[in-house]
Amino acid sequence: MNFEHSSEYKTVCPYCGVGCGVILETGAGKVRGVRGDPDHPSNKGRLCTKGRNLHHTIHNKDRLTHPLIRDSKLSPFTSTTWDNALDRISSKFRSLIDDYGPESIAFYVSGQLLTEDYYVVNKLSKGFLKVNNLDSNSRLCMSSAVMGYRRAFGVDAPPCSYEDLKSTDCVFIIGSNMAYCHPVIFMQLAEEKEKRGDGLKIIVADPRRTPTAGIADTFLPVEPGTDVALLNSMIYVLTENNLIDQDYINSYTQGFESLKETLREYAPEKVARKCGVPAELITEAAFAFGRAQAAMTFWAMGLNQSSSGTDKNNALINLSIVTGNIGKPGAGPFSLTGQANAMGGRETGGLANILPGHRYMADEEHRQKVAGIWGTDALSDKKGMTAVEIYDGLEKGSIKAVWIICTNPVVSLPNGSKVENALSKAELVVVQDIFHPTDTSIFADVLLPAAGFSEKEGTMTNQERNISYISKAIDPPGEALPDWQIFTKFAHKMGFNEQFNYEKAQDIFEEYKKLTAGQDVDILGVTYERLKQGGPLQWPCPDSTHPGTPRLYADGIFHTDTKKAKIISVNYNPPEETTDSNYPLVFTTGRVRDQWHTMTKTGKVESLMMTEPEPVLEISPEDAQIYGLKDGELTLVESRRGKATVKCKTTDKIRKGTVFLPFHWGRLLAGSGRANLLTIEVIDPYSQQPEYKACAVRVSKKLFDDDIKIVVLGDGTLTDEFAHKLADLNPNSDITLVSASKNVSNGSVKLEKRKPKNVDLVNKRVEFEDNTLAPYDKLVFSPRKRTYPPPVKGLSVEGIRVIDILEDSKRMIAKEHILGRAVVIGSNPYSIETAELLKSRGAEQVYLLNHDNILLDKYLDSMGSQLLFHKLRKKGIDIILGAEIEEIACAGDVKKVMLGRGRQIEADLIFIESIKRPNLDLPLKTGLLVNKGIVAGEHLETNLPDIYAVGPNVEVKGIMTNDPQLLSSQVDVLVNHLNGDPTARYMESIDANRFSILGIQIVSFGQYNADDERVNVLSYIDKAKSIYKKIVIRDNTIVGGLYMGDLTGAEEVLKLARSESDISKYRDTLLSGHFKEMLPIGRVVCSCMAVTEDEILAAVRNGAGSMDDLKERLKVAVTCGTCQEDVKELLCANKTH
Amino acid sequence: MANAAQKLVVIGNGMSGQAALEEILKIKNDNIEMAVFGGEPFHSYNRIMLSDVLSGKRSFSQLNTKNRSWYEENKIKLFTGSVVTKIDKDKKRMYAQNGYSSPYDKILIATGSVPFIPPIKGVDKKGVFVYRTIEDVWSIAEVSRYRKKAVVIGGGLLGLEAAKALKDNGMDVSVVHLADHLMEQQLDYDSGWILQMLLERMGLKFRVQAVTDEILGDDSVSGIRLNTGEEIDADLVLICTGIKPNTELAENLGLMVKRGIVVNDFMETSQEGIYAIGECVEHRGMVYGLFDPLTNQAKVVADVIAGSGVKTFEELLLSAVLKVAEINLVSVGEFEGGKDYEDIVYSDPQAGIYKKIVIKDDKIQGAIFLGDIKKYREIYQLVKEKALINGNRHDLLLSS
Repeated sequence: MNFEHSSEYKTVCPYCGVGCGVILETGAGKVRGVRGDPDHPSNKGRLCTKGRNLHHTIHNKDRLTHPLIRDSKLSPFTSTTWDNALDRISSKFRSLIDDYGPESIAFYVSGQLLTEDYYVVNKLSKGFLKVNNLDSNSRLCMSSAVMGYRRAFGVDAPPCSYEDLKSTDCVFIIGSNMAYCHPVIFMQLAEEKEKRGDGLKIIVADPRRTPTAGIADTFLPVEPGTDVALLNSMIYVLTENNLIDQDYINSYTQGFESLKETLREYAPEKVARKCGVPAELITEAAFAFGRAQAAMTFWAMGLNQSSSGTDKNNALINLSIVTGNIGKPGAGPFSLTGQANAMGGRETGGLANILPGHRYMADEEHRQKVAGIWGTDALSDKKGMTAVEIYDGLEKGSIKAVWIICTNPVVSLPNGSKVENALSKAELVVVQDIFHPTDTSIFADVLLPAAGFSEKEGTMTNQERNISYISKAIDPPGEALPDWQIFTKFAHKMGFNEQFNYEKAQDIFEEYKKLTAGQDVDILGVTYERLKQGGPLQWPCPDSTHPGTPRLYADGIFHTDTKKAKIISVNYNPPEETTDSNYPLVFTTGRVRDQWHTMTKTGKVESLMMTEPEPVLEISPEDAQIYGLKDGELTLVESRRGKATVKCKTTDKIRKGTVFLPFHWGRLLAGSGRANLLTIEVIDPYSQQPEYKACAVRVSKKLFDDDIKIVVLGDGTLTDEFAHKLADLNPNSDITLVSASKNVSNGSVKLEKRKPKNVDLVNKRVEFEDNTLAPYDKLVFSPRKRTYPPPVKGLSVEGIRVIDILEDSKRMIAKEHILGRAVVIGSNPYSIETAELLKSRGAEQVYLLNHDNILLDKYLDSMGSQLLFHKLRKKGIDIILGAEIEEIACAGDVKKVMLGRGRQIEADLIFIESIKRPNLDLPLKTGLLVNKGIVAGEHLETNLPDIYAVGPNVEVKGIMTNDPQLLSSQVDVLVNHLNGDPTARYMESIDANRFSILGIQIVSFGQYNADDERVNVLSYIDKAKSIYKKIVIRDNTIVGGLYMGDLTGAEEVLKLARSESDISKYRDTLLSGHFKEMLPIGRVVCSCMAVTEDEILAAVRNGAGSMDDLKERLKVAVTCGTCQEDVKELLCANKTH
Repeated sequence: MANAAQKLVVIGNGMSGQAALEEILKIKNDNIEMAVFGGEPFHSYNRIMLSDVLSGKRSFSQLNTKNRSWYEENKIKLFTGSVVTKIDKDKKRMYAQNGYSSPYDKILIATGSVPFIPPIKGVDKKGVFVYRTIEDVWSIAEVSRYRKKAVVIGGGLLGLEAAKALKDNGMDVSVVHLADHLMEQQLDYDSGWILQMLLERMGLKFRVQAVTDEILGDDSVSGIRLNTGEEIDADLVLICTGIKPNTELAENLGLMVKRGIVVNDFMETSQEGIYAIGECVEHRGMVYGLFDPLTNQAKVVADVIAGSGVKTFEELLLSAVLKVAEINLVSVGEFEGGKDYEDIVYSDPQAGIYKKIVIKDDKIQGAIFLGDIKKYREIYQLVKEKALINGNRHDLLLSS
């Protein structure tokens, strides 16, 4: 493939460490599509849901396109030049270095940077600014694995490859939800399992029975944090049963005797309770592992993110060492990496304690060697701060400036409030990113626009040491630049021109390569040309003919001082924070399937947001019962560090005593629904990796705060419903319902019958006509409609009946002796019904005078009006459309309706409908923004602080509604919002009318009358039967509909409209009403084909008995396959019933 | 059989003549000797697929239903390029323009139809074509190769097929149509409009309710002028304004001719021993131009001439599954509906779907299916059997 001139470009997915090859299709300067690269060894054409949607993350309104700057954290950003922005940083850096030394500055970088970016920032920081405080978000991800490898093998190098999956006969996965976090490699494993059945044993250990466990032969429901106990116990079983490889241990390892000592305390019976895993299961797992010819282990954050993460890693690596599962096909400890180029970052020295080429800052010789190549004077020997320490330093004031590159620490670091606090205190925060705003960028003083995925050239190393070439497919937007160019520009500002004299990414790679010469990570044989032509290469690859190294340590020689693999004896240590009566539950965090990290990219893809739209706390049904929580209820989760408000989901897939919350959501997307507001910032002593997977929390139903005074102004059932729903959340709530007529049964709601006259915004109180007061913290308006006489001349003529509702007419007509001619003036349903009533009660002639040119113009289109018109004519009612009434005159007993142009209708009886308008006097007087109704936002908030509005006279996004369903949903949203639910939003844009007239049932909703170019109209008309159905579609989404005479399917179609579902696959059956089983409503499981849980369950009910059946019927799990385990789970759970 | 074989001469070697020959052969009556006179210089071919030749999707040889050896094998004398001009009833002999002649006992007239050319000024200009024979198609194809803009006069089935084929050849094509919607023989207003929209998406342009006043140009065509005064540039004009039964010969023979040659249920003309089928005939006031009735007529006439003579041709429910420029289309029976009928209509114009059934007395009288013809067979049976639908209206058009 020609990389330069094609409209297709090969690159690598920038998400997880699997490193899938991606082919980008471009056109007109944009990435139009992505597909898996069939030639890339990592994925062979496969992509997961996240990867498949990469192109939707590139061109986005939130892209940062120009440098932005501001004078203080309170002022707005203004656009500036690169020169200005970098000058601002360089002058601050200079003065900080002069005044406080380079220790006052920190760089916080990312495992998503390309190797070249990483190298340049590291060289700039450590080599020239002498700033050793440079750490990467890889610290949060796999630094424990790094230390584990280093302690055991001497260097940071995963010894095995993906190809080992083909030859292994036992895979042990611990602390990794591979099915969600590394889907493509998981799919390969699942495929092997499918192929080989019992020939490939799979063991999964996790506190949650995740989809990864779906392919397991043995599942170990381990208690969070007790992994070392479990692993030691497994080795105990192996030793006891002679399932270890004594020859291997003797020849190539050291430390086994000491481990044997340690193991004494770890007999399965002894640890079973602690680990929460029955002794038999421990034994079963150990036997499966020990009896395998070749066994592999996979792990990720479940082991790494711990205060004893390094020990956990070594406990697991010990398992591989003592069974001789190193350096042979199908064997080895395989650490799963969270980020695409975490490994490349470490190779180039992108952590506080390392230097390029797997060298160490603490090593004098290493420092000298690197300084020599860089052409700089001695490197500083000061210990650099790691991730958590940097923010600690910022908070304490020892670090004064931070340059954050390509990462979102406000969301991702533990104890998030502390991070926010630290950034607020910093004297200079530089954020270099592709997006703004992010939860971090809003704390910046200077924002630098970077080029992102598909916009820059370079290399990355995936988790199996495989280096891929990344091609540039399109130009970055605006003035955005590749990160290395930004660093180079800045280096020039700081006076380091010569040493940062790169023209292209390749120059950097060539320079960096030299630093690997003779190291374990020697890549002298790798060139851009080789990678472009021959595909990825696994290091070490020391010369130009070297084919790369799929497997390390085949010779049993390790990089340790003794050249032997070291068995590190480790003991179980509980997590730093254990549960107690105050905080009785273990809180653990992780991911959902379709989001990646802090959602700055995946959160912008609609189809990915469909599967898990908000963060949800998983809790066992037993715990839910103990703490009084119902499924789906708003829950307060509290730790010693903070509080989070999220909905809960009860599931038996999580251990009793443990709760789980995904960490992806930040303040921008979920307010306080953030897992990392709760986590603890304690770190592992060897790896400095934080403990995200275990801290102590308590949970409770989120009660409404009884310190908040709520005053509700308005009448009707809605305000009553609101007050009572709020009172239900806390019987002690302080709620005053100001209502003229309602009887309130619940004693906790105070009923106030006085008339409000004024709202005092300054003192936050409602003033009543009798000059009494009601103070409020939150005020809710729900005005009702008021009726007025119609503005018709001659209304005072005797015998004219003004009617408000149909009941008025019924009452009046019942009293009258109806004869002669009647006229009904009005265009509401009840006026039409009145006309019909008059006719049926014997009126000789009935005229209906309708102001508009179509009947019921607020509810019908012209076709609907026509049908009704004919129906009325058949009943003998005369209709005048477009009637402009000039005057009603009286001549004796006979009344005349003057219609202009000399036209008049004589009548004995006249009914005229009243006019109804919302009573908005008080809202207007208060200063609320009023259009058709009170204007409110998605939380039902008005333009004034602490004042909200709900009800039929409130206008949200231009829409007012009388639909009881929507009104009730408004109440729910407001109640939940006031109670702190970060995701409570009223998003309804489709109003519905439901009524029945002349026996014809009618439902109309949304833009049923839309007629623009982008609109598609589906219709079904059977005039003779007065049946008319119409669906209005725009961009494959239903935006409106009208059903007359036959409501079959109307409610379902309305639901589809409200859920903004893509209806293209249902289009031809939408009007039939026979599609209930297929509605794409509910939780989306397969995001590629938008298949919902409901659809899958319906298919299972209708006889789909296997995955193949479901794939055939629903095309589910066939596009990318990521949802395979989720679908299987639904199938298994439901097919027997 | 002692009697000398009966000599049957078929005049016209189009699709009807061909069908009749095949039907007669099926009866295996050795007592019939057959000869066929065709006006075109070719043996029979499938006229329905001419637009595929125009657009280059098929070659002429792919249109041939039977080659010359077939005639020889079946002992049928084939006279091509032979327009019959004279029939001597006394000598029982007929003569062709090119000098061939043949004796006969019975005659089957299958002269088909000729294009109807409206009286438009300038139709004789170079670059003006009709669309009937393979030779027409070849001439058009040749011309369309180096000309850019075409006007097709007539938006019926044939005109639209031709217009699409010209468009596929890379020409800029405008269709000028007299009625207020396309294909008014098969479609009501709304479906005609949807069809037009679909064809517009394919790049065709339309003027409906448009009368062509004049074909412009000196010697060669340069455009047309509509009665509104609007002029449309064109270097090719194709006239597809319908057909008229070719009855010239029959009139000369003194047969009863109204719109077409009048035949009874046995396909006999007003003179004994002379039969007629196909587009040139009129049966109970109807002139048929579709493939289905033509095949039935061929069966009837074969039975009359060579078989037991008991089959009769009955009034047919007009129906056809058509493919207009790759769009499926069906109409059957009384599809217009309106005042005395109860219409049920499903429409999804953007998806190119329109379905209509016309009901009277709880029976389906006719239907149109455009774009989605899945339910058509079912409905067709109901129309044919005049079945009561028992108020089950909803599911007729809306399928699950």
